[in-house]
Parts: sequence; C-alpha cells; structure tokens
Amino acid sequence: MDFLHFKNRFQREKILPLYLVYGEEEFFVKEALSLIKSRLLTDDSTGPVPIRYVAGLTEMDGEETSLSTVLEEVRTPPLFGKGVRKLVIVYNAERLFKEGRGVWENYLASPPEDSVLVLVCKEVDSKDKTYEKLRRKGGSINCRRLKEDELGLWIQERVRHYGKQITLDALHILQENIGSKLLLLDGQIAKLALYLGSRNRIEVSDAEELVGYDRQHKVFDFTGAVARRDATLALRILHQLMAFMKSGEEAQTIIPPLAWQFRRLIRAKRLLSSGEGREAVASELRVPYRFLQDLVNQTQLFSKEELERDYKFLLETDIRSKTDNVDARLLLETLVFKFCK
Amino acid sequence: MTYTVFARKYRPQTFEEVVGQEAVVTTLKNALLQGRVAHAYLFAGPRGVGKTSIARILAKCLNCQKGPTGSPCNECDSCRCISEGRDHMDVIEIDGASNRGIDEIRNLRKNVGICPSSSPYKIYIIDEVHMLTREAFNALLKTLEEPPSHVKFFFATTAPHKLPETILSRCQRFDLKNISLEDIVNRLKQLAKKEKIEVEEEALRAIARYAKGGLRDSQSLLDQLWVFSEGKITVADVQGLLGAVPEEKVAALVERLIQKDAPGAVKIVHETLKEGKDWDAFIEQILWYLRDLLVVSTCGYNSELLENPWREAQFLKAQSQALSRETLMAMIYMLTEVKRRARDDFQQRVFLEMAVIKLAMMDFHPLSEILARLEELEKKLSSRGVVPAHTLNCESVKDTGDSPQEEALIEKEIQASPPKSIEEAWTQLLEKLHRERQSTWSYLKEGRLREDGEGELTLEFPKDRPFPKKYLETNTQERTMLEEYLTGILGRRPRLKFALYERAAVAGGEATKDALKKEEKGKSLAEKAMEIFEGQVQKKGGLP
Repeated sequence: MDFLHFKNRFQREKILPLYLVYGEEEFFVKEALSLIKSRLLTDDSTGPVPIRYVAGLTEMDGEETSLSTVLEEVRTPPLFGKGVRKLVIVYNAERLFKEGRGVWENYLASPPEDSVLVLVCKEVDSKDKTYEKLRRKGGSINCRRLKEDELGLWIQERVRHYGKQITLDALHILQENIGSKLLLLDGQIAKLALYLGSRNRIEVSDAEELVGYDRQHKVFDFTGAVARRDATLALRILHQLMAFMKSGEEAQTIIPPLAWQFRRLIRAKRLLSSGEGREAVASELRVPYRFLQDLVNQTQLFSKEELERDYKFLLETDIRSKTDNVDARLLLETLVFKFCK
Repeated sequence: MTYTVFARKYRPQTFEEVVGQEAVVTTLKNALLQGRVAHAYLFAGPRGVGKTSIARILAKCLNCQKGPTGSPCNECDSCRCISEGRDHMDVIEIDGASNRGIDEIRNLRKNVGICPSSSPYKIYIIDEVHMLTREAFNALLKTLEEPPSHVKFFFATTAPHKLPETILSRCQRFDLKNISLEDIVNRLKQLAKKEKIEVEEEALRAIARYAKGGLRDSQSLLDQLWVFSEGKITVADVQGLLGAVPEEKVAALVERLIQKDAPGAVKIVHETLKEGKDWDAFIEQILWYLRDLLVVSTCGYNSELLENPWREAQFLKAQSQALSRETLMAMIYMLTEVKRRARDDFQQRVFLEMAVIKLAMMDFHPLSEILARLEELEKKLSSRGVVPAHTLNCESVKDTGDSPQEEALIEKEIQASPPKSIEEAWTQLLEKLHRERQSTWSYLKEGRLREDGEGELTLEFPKDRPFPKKYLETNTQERTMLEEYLTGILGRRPRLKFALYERAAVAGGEATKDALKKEEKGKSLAEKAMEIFEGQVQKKGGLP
C-alpha cells in the first residue's frame, strides 16, 4: 500500500500484528512510524473490545539482532499485563525479513495477541510470498520517493500543514534548490513558516532570502540582457548570481547553467527555423511553460551565428577558469563584455 | 589590564548586534517566541560572518535565567558564562577539528542522556563540524534523529557540502551570507567611534574590500592598523599593511601605457617589484583596474558596478575614453596570459616586463576607427584603379566583366599557397582555427607539429600542459576534425600521433638579459612588429 493511501486509512482500520515499512523516502518512513506509535500510545476504541495501548516500545537494529531475539521479544507478554499491547520496531530489517520466510507466515497465521511488530527496510523483493500476503492484508507500507509531478502538491500540502500558503514561483525555488528529498524540503518549509511570522504567504523574496534563488529564471534574465546587448544589466545579474552562491561554491559553477541555456537557445532556434512551433520546442527541449515565451523571444533576438559564437566564448571561459590562475569572476565579467560587444 | 582584540571585544552578544544576517535572526527569534526551536541547527557560511556568534546567542536565549527569550539579558550567570567564553555546565562547545573521532562522539552520546544541571537545555555547539570522521557522523546520527527533549545541537561549518546527507536532513539549515561592503563599513565606523580611532572613510572601504564579506577579518585588520599607524589611518596605511601596490601607482602605470611610454611603464614595474611587492597581486590589481575602465567604457560611470568605487571618477572616465573596449579587453587578455604562463620568479618578472612593453607599444585606436581608415584607403585605391584583395572573390570581380576562366584563375591566385614546410602548415592551421574554431585554437596554440615519417605527423604539447594530448586522444570527433583541416592544408590525409615535449629551460641572470637586449637591438622594425602583433610574413600576390 502506498504511504499516502495508508495515511488516509490507518486511523479507521484495525491494527495489524505485523507491518512492513519499506522504501527510500525517509520522510514517509518516519511519518509512518510516528503514525503507528501515536495510535498505539492512545486509547483504541475502533475494535469490539476497547484495548489500551501503552508505551511498551522496543526498538532494535536488524543488523545487530538475530531473528530469534526479535521473535522472543514479540512473544514475551507485555510488562503491564493483559489488555496492554507492546510495539516492537526493527530498523534495517532486510536480512531478517529474507531469513525468516516461513517464520513470518507462521507468525501471521497465529500472531501474539498483545504485540505489534514493525519491520523497517530500504527495499523488499516484490515477488516474496510473505510480502504478497502482507500486501493483501494491508500491512505493507510503500514509502517510495515522489515523482516530479507529485512534488508540487506535496509541498503545497506541507506548507498548509504549517498554517501558511506559498506562491507558485516560491514553490519552484524550493523545488529547484532542494530537490525531491522530502526531509530536506520539510526542514526548509518549517524554516520559511517561522520566518514569515504573522504573514501568511511565502513569497519569492522569502524563498530567495532563506533557501536560494530561481536559477533558471536568473539564467533566462541573463541571456535576455545579453540578447539586448545590455552589458550593465547582464553584469548586475551576474553579480546577483554570484551573491546567491552558497558557501564552498566557486564562481565557475555559474558556467554550466549558462552553457545549458545557450545550448537550449541554439536548439530552439534550429527547431523554429525549420518550421516547428512553440509546442515542439516545449516538448523537445522540456522547457517549463513559464519560460516558453521568453525562450522564443530570445531566439528571435539572437542570430544563429551569434548564439554559436557566444557558446564558444563560454566554453573558452570554462577552460580558462579551470586552467588559468585568474579570478573566475574577472573571466566571467570579461565574458559579459565580449557577449555584449 | 589584558588587551582584548577587536574581533573578540566586539563579537555580537545579542541578535540585534548581528550584522548582515537579518533573515536568519528573524527566523530564530520567531522560533524562540513561538516555542518552536528545532533540536538541531546547522549554520553554514564563509569565515567571519557570524556562525558561532549566532549559535552562542541562541544558546544564551534558550538558557537565559529570564528565558527562553528572543533577547538574552546578558546579566545572569548563564549569559555571562557564554559571553565570556567560560566553562558552562550545560553549554558545551566542541571544536570539530580537534575532537573528530568516534570516541569523542561516543562520549558525547553517553552524556546526552544526563539532564542539564542548572539550565533548561543542554546545548552542544560543534564548530567546524565537517571535520568529524565518517564513523563519528554515524555515531552522531541516532542521537541527532531523536535527541532527548532537553538537548539541542548547533553545528557551524564553512563546508556544508562535506557533511553527509543524513546529517543535513536532520538539521534546520541556515546559509549565512557574506556581509555587504556597506554593512562592514558601517560596523567599522561604529567601532572606530567607540575606540576613538581616527580613520579615513576610504581606508575603511579598503579594509572592507580586503575582508571579502568577513566582518572578523575586517575588525582584525583595523585592530592591526590602529597599533601600527600614528594618527589618522589612511588608505596608504591599509595598502602598506596588506603589501598592496598603492592605487596611484597602478593608475600611473595605466597612464604610461596610454601615453605609449614604455620606459616609464617599465620603471614603475621595477620600482614596485623592488619594494618587495608581490607581482601576482600587482597583476591582479592592474587587471581589476582595467576591468573598472572597461565597466566605465561600456556601462558609463556607475559606482555600483565598480570594484573600487572610490577612485576618482574624472580620471577613470578620461582613461576609459583613451582606450577602446577592444584594447582594454586585449590588455586584460595579455595580462591574464602572463599570470598563466609565468611559473617562477624570474619568468614572472620577464613576462610582466614584456607584457608592459607590448601594451605600451600597442595601437590604442578603436577598431571602428581602424575600419574607417581602411575604408578610406580602399576608396583611394579604387579611385586609382586598384581592387582591394578582399573584394576579389566577390561581386566586384564579376562587375569587371571577366570571363569564368579568368575568374577561376584569379580565385586560384588568391588561394593560400601550399605550405613549404611542416611548420608553415602548422601556422596555417592555427590561423584557420583562430578564424573558424576558437575553442580548438585556444588549446592547440601551444602545440607544435613534427613530421615523423611517410605521412605520419606528431602533434606535441608541453609536458606541463598534458590536457590537449589527453583530450585529442580520447575525443574522436575533435581528432577527425583536426585531420580534415590538415588534409585541406597539406593536400593529403595525415596519420596523427600525439606526444609531450619538455619546454626548453629558461636561463636566468644578467647574461640572458644582455642577450635579450642584443637580440632586440639586432632586430629589424618589421621583425619587432611581427613579434608585437604576433604576425607573419606573407608573400606578395593577392594584389594586382
């Protein structure tokens, strides 16, 4: 069962004797465990007979524990007597899950009445019989990484969880700078929510202040300034790009996104001059819709030769920044003057 | 009474005193006010921007006897202990660089469970946390994931990229920015006022510029200057202490170049190096000066964009008008080449002198002016019935009504003659690449071509620059392109091999200088011109 599905159903359903929490998304693993823990620490009144769950919590590392120890721990009655359940969580349980194939089936057939066992694994074999049985019973929780198109929604939901809202552009900044790791994203959202104070919406300026900048946007602005031969503006944007660099980053890290943008402009120019439309450019070059019009406009401002020449200049600067003993900032600034000549 | 250095004396003690990190301070204050302080924070940023100071202030806020509060009282025992850097039972500051092993972290883990003795929280501040070993990080991981509610971890680092992702994902991370020049200057002004130090505003700017965004470095420098100078601190004092060349000297050197006064320019270089200034820093200063001239020439006088905005505007404008943009870019290129090529002190000096002479002899006419003059010349020639070479293969040939046979003959005539030697072929190739494929030319220009046997050519590169050899050996596309170019020039397809060669050692001492002088004297004007403009002799033929 997918984690998001499990999250919606868990509170309404009967507690199972065995759960398998697996997957690479640590944030979901943590959340699944915290859901299980929080339900077992409170009164459960969904069953026919109310059972009081208490903090009979045991946590183990599967790499340092044997299968028999785990089973012994689960079968040992809770300290506080009947009607009280205990929770045993085994982390890194890949080896134990594989080792005890027959054992887990027996365990599922006659589980101890007063214990819940949770096995936490990074990955599991989907053809495994025990896994299949567990899956059918609803005890397997798949904490997979979110796909790119699911991430935006998740960020919005998480921002709402902190009682705030977020603009689409600020959301892009988060996504672009932090990536798809939910634990990292959550940390940044929590930070932004605190920074807002009484304000309600996370704006671009907030995200730029605390998270980073919209690199794609700035790169578009830069090539726009170059296309219009506006050296002053191009220089200003270059300075902004450098000011946004994080600790440990060198000035030459700005070159790859610029090179990528020039390559994209060259390819877009070729496509458009061969009679293709904007849609073809968007799909072939994977240009986000918010940048499409800018890209098309910029291809009209550059000639094919200018684009190829500027791309060459950029590559030369890249080589020089790696081989010459000269401040990369100076090289990049000279490049701006070359572009805007 | 013991003396406390400025950097320690003026270390911020409250969030209000932290300079240039408003967003971080606001977030932390809000977290304190809302009771949502995370269990682990990571403060990342360059040195001297306030990482440890913020960690200490946060620790004071949490453990203040009147707290937790957004503004620590700085009077209670807990606050004073932290401010004065004395041992605090519940605020443990660990230097990650010297306590980086697993044993130290195991020890920490053992003590984490023990409740704080006199404060609400037990706080661990680990400075330079990126220095911990992998094992130490792993040992820390479990504690960091779910520490007891009374424990907080504050990490500070200049290299967050060296931290494992498992640690990063368990901390709330703040990236501290470099402090702006204006903020540093303002802070230094306050400090100077408190200490009754007389200092020029320009000197403060020079200090701030040297500090490159780090407040601590700027405070330390002001401290040193205060001890070192008598009376008012001036820009010259700052430059003297930093070993930098005075700005006037750099400006004077550029002025000599504009005036084409090679002896005057060389004299300035000699004087500067004689004073023991670092030649590398000297070139860097000239480069940034030229860069500012380029900015003024392209964007107009805009102090925001200038590296040294306190330079005299009129003088900068005048110099930037005297030099075209192309010239300035050529000058910058030439000086960066000096930096790239020079390997030792002797080379550094010779190359710098040579570059200065070359620059002083450069023609500073803007390209547009040269083109206009060429056009004028062409008009004069055509009025006398002479057809300029570059128009021979264009429309003008057809206009004369020549037959196709004659046309072909002219075309053949103006085509480059086949090379007589392999060196000539190499020169032709480089010229062609310079026109058509600058990126290839840029790495090939240091190579040389040698004929080994029947149809076999060896392309050699200096031993200290093996990159082009490796690149060509692995990049088939580039190699094929090169072979095609050579085929076009030689008229046959060569077999290419790649090798490295040892550069000829540069002999030192006065003898070499004398030899160079003699050689210089013996050269004809044409040879000197060829050397300056990196030109070559072309046989007459294109013009009728």
